[in-house]
Amino acid sequence: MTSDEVQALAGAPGTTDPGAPARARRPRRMDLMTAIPRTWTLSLGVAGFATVLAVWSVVTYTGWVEPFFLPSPSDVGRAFYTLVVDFGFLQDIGASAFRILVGFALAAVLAVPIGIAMGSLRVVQAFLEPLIAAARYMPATAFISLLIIWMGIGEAEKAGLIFIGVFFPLCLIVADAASATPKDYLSASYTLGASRKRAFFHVLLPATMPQVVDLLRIASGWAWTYVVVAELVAAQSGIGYVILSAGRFLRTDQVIAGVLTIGVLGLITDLFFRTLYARLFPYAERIAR
Amino acid sequence: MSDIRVRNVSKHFRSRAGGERLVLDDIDLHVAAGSFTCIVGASGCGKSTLLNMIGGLQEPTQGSLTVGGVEVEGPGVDRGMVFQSYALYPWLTVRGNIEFGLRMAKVGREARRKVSDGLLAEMGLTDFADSYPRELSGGMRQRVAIARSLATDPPVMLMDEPFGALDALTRISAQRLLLDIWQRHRRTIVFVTHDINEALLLGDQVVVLSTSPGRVRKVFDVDFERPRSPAVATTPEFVALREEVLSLIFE
Repeated sequence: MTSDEVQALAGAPGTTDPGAPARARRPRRMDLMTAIPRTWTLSLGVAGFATVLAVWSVVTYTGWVEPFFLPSPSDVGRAFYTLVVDFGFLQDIGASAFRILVGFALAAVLAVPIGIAMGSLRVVQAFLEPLIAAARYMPATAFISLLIIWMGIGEAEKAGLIFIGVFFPLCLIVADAASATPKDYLSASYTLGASRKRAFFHVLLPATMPQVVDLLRIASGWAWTYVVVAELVAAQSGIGYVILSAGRFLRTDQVIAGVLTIGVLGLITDLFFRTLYARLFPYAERIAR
Repeated sequence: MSDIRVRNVSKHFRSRAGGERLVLDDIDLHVAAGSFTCIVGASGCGKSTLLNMIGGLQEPTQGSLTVGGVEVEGPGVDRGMVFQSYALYPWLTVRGNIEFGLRMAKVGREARRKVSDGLLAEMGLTDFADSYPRELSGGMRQRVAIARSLATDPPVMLMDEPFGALDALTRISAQRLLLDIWQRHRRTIVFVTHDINEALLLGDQVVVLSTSPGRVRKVFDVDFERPRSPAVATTPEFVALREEVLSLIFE
């Protein structure tokens, strides 16, 4: 017996079914809107980061770009270390996280029920939508002076800015999600004996909740933006404050370390909501982005 | 069992331009208790609107509808509905969907389970009791939807193009299953479709609606022997009837 025959009898590596066609259809990685294996998703994601890191390394370590404009990755890493060890950066991260937690949680706790009420009851919608739609166009940052006058320059003002930045648009997109509940869902429930109240709790709410969690994930991104804005004005702590002060001293390495920290924290928030979504709604399609 | 009477029912819709559009004009219809009535017509003839009015989901502009002698004043458990979109709840399993009406009626767990077990078996869905609707094919989803409306045992079942989204082969087996169920659980069925073959194959009575405005062109009594097989569609009587219905619709 030749080694080829042995190979043929044993089956090609990786195939267990001897009746399988000699050549399996090659999976197409480039088909439009077609799923790819999970390992591919992960490794491509890592590759994306690696590419940026590589380009960054090349332009900095070779000296193409002056460190003053763009410090090398290791410089930024060192800056991060210094910030943490010598300047208590962890407390700043904590301060920012706390502000987000208060401002965002308050906005979510109010915006979700109001949005759902707007989306499900035309009366509420007619009453609130013009107000909120107008308020949404007033930039949150324009409220900073007002917030300082009202609340001083403490924590309340910071959380207040995040609240204003998140609350109004969140109301509107939650309302949109609630009103997108298929009418047939409700009709079917009425013919199955549901009262209006039970249709709300047993159909409209569960139909809307997955969307709401996904919208909270998106809104948490806005919260990270506004916390930095809040900390650029009259703050003594927080990531935004650190970035601003580092900028004043032209410490590009520390600025970048601060910005990247926000990126990582944002990613963690995103992951938290994605995990929550997958846990709470195992029946739902996976969210796209 | 309940009969359905539709008396002088008209329905206007206000158009965006501000004018009124007459969708259904002076509909008179009687559906005998326990019979199978199909309503056919071209799209836009108001057949779904008529069904929704019987279901209490829409109100007539004029006229009255009674089911079992009682005026229709909104949706109720005496009239189950099956939609073309299935309208299954994606957050509930197949069993959860089937038991939904029973839960609304505050039926206990054990009793609910007994009903859903029976329906699951009857629909050939026992192995999918714990699956979610999105894991099922279209034909299976529609079976779940039918089982869900049967669970509360309504004397009237209203079906709005329930097989419209199914492929031809799945549709045939769905029709057969529906006839089967109807033989076993006799109830009044009103079935809206634009498929004339389907209407003639299923119905005791076929109501042909004209388009804009929808008027009753003619009501046919279809008396092919039951149980019917799809082979009935090849008989000369069937073919002649189909031609007649077709010409009425396009007149």
